[in-house]
Amino acid sequence: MTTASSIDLGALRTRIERLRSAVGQDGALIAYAVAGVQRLIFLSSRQVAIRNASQLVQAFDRWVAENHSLSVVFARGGRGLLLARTDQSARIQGELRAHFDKQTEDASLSLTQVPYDPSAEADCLRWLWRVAEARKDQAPLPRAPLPRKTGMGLCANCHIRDGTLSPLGYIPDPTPEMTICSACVKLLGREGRHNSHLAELAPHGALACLSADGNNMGQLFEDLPDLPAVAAVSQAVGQTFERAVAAMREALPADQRARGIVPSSTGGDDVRLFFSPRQLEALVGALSRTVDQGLQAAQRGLAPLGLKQRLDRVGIGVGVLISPYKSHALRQLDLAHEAERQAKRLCHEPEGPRSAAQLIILSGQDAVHDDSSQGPPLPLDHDRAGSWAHLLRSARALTCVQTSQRAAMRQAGRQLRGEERVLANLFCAQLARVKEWQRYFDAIQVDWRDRTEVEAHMPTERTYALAQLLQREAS
Amino acid sequence: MKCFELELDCSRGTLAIGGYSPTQAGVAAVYAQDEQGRPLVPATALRGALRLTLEALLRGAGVENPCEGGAGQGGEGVTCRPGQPCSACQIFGGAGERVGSGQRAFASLVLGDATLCDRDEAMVESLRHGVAVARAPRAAAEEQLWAHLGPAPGQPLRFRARGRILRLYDDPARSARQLAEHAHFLQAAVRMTQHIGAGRSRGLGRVELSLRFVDSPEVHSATPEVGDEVRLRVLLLSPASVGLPMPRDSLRETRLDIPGAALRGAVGFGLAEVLTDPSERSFQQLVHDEDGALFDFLYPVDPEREGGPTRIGPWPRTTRSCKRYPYRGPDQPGHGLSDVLCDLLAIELAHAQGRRINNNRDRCPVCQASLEPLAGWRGLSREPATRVVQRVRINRHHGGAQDQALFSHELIEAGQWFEGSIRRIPAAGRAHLARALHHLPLSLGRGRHRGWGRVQVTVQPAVKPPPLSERRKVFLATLRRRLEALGVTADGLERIVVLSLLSPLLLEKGADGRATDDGCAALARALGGAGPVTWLHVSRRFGYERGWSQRTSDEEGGVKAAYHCALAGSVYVACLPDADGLAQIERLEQEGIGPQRRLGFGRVLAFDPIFAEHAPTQQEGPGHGH
Repeated sequence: MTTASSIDLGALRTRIERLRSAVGQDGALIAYAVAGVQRLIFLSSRQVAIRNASQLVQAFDRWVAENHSLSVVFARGGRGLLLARTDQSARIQGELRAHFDKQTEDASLSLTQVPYDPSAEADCLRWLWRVAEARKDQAPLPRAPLPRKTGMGLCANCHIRDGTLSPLGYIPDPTPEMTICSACVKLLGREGRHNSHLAELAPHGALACLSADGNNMGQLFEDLPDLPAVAAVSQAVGQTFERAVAAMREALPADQRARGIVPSSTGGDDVRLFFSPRQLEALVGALSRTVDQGLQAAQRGLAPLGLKQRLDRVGIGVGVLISPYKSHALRQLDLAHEAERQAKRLCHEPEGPRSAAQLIILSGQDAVHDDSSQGPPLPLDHDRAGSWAHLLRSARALTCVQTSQRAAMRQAGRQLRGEERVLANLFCAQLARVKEWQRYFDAIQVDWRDRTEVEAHMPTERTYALAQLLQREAS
Repeated sequence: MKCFELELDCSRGTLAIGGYSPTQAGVAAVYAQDEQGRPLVPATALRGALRLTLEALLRGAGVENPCEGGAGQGGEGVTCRPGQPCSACQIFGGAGERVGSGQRAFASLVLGDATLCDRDEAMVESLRHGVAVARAPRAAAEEQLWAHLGPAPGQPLRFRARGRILRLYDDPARSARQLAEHAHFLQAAVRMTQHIGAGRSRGLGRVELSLRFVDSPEVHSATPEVGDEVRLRVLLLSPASVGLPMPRDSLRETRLDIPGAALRGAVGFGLAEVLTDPSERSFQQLVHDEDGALFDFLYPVDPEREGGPTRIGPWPRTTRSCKRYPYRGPDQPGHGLSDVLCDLLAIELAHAQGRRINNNRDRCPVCQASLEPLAGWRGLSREPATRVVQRVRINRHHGGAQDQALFSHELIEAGQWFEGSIRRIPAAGRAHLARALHHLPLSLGRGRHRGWGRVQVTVQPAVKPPPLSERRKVFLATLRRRLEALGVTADGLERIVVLSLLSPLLLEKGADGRATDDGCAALARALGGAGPVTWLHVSRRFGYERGWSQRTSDEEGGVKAAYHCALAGSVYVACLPDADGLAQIERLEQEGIGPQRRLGFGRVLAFDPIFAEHAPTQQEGPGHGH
């Protein structure tokens, strides 16, 4: 697979130079973005719908890159930038919109055009992003028909619109009255018969939802000085995140790679993923490692463009929600996204890490109101106490402690909230007599004879919850 | 109507009613508690227990063979048919029941949660552990240890629930017979019910019930008059569920604002319970679809905050806060609020003139982080608290949970305040409205019969926004200053009109059911004038809305037609052909726009003061210009 460091800057510069000379003084910059992309992808909780909606966005980007190769600067993640002659820009925009509308009725395309001045490329780019941002709430209404009613006759896929077409084999053993809507035919038509629900990823009832996004990417793109830099950074970031999703898939056991995760990555800097909580450590590890390596490679590879320092503060914010699978995909995603935002806030602190993760574990649909099991977001960059790696190691070590001991100390922790000294006394009393607690501290490399250290590293509510989850998933 | 009080005496204090309160981490089940942590018996559990008993009594006494749990099931000989419900369904309601012609409600029993008689009494909790014993080693099975939190045994608990039996029919003689029969059946069920909730085989949930009929609680003191418009402050006394336009999966979520339809429904059903003749003209005028009063949306508010139409409702799409340190209300302002409308207009004007400007208002003025649109409501610091309750149908044969019959409902927690208004109240209906708001038990949203959504209404004088001409003057002055700071010149600013949606605008649709307009055409028509309206800027998002009617009995099953809508908070900026459009704008503010205005949809505010209040100051300037 290509890495960011292997971007052929010479070829890229040549391509952009060709675009520039083709438009001369009479050019226009055109930006497109898929409006409502998250709603499009997570309209249904069925795996096939999520996968296909993601692929639809990727396919549209590919179509733009192939069919407008003489104009495209980049086309990734449902966003793109084109440079075209002014007299052709209306035709190009019409073609983009027409092709997108042919692909789906559940989202619409937002298009922005500004004049291109070759002598002020950076200003033109900044102006384009500014106008595009100002107009992001002006995308037309998606053409999908309205939901009509509940009950019989609804589309067997989205359960929102009227089913009007025969199932065409997408639904196993369809009853005669079972039909799907035209909008879903467009989504389902790409992958055939995969009919699994996300629930299949949750044999023990819990489903993990991950939402990750590049840190400081908006600022990075807005400040890029010229078209080659935009194209190169877009390619580097896109490849890095594509590699990350591939690495996450590789991190799964061989028999689960095809169906073990449901990624919705569209080729941009965001990753949305559903998976079994059993894979938490492997997947988040693979994601952060690959993104980190990719960004380092990008820094090296893009150094000739003077972008090394701009990439210094770029990292990734990861939010993971583990909750009962019964919630709708969009609801789980909302909460995972909120976790991601908390993680990113940590990165934005002065001296904050480049990358961070936040984990929220909910025991039930109602447990969202009980925030006692949530802790602060954790840095992904290092392996010291208070980091993501440390949390996972602690939880893994905690699974070796008897469940009765864990239950008792966890209960004590809840009852003695605000009375840390009393809790520490109680904990140390158990520690002195229970070998498993001593082995727990050995495993997390803390001297259990040092009371100060013990107090600082006693398991938290989140560690207990994660340990319980890991044990259940492993059973 | 017959009102009653139902007392539950739980002398052992061992109640195990789960699924009503959030479980704490590490605890498998928690006893039902109100929003302040006091134990209660949810109306759903109470009604379920009474229904189980009544069904058994009716069957045992050979009176009739009622269906099982309102599902119309129960094998051969069941006396429950569509349109001819069994007695249990008449009292407790049945699945999919609708209100037919000549009927007033689909079930006669309204029964709320049973709360502690002595609400200040201290109560001790205890954790009951249960463990499964593995048969081979005869030891505790791994992962099979449960902890149930409940009231500690041995402390007597007394609860009281209030309820009423409604007249089901318009025909007085038939209603009198029905009231007497249902009171009789309820009395019998109360006497014979001995357990509530789970764990009866372990001795839990033993209760003694007693029923006492009481006079109607309606106070017949003087009712303050209401005028053409009233402002309402509404306190939720019990959790409320207000249906989303499209429920998702097995969790029935609630919307967090209260549509005018729910407010009108509360007033209408409240009055229909007590009026001798609900078809009387003055009442029908009040709730009429075309000429009735205009019931606005109720929006969540903090009770101590100042109210009024410009202080409640959704944030405009153009109002932003810092992504890193977001605004969470006056007590947690983060990096404050910024409204970027003036800057967006500057960008649009410069773009139209083929010029570039460099404003820095898409960044936080304090830390330069990105800005993002504000979610939530102006009058509230954080989202209203919600709780998720589980409901299950009990299988009559094995006494356990019925397969495929477990539902989760999200409810807005009791104690939340809302504010809204009722406007253009017809003179003939004012006395009825005053009676409903001041004296009648009103319930918002679904689940009125199980006591959900009970409210206490405080009627306050209407608050008008500042005069339109003043709002326009302030906005235009702010816009001019900002344009000047950014170096943008523009003529005809006095022809600009800024409209923000205080509630969703239902969009017109064509024959194929798809929207034919994004709101601009409808607004342009409403603004009227001598020439075409041009749109300088729009910031809007789309969704859809759909209602539900108890009275509809067609094939749609009570679900009304859906509409695409422009969401509340959307902002439209138009340039009128001339500067004399104030009269049309005022009319637009008063009457709203689009379908279902009587239910609060399409409410518009022109020149919202927030645009000027949070626009950048001159010191924030144009930033690092080109």
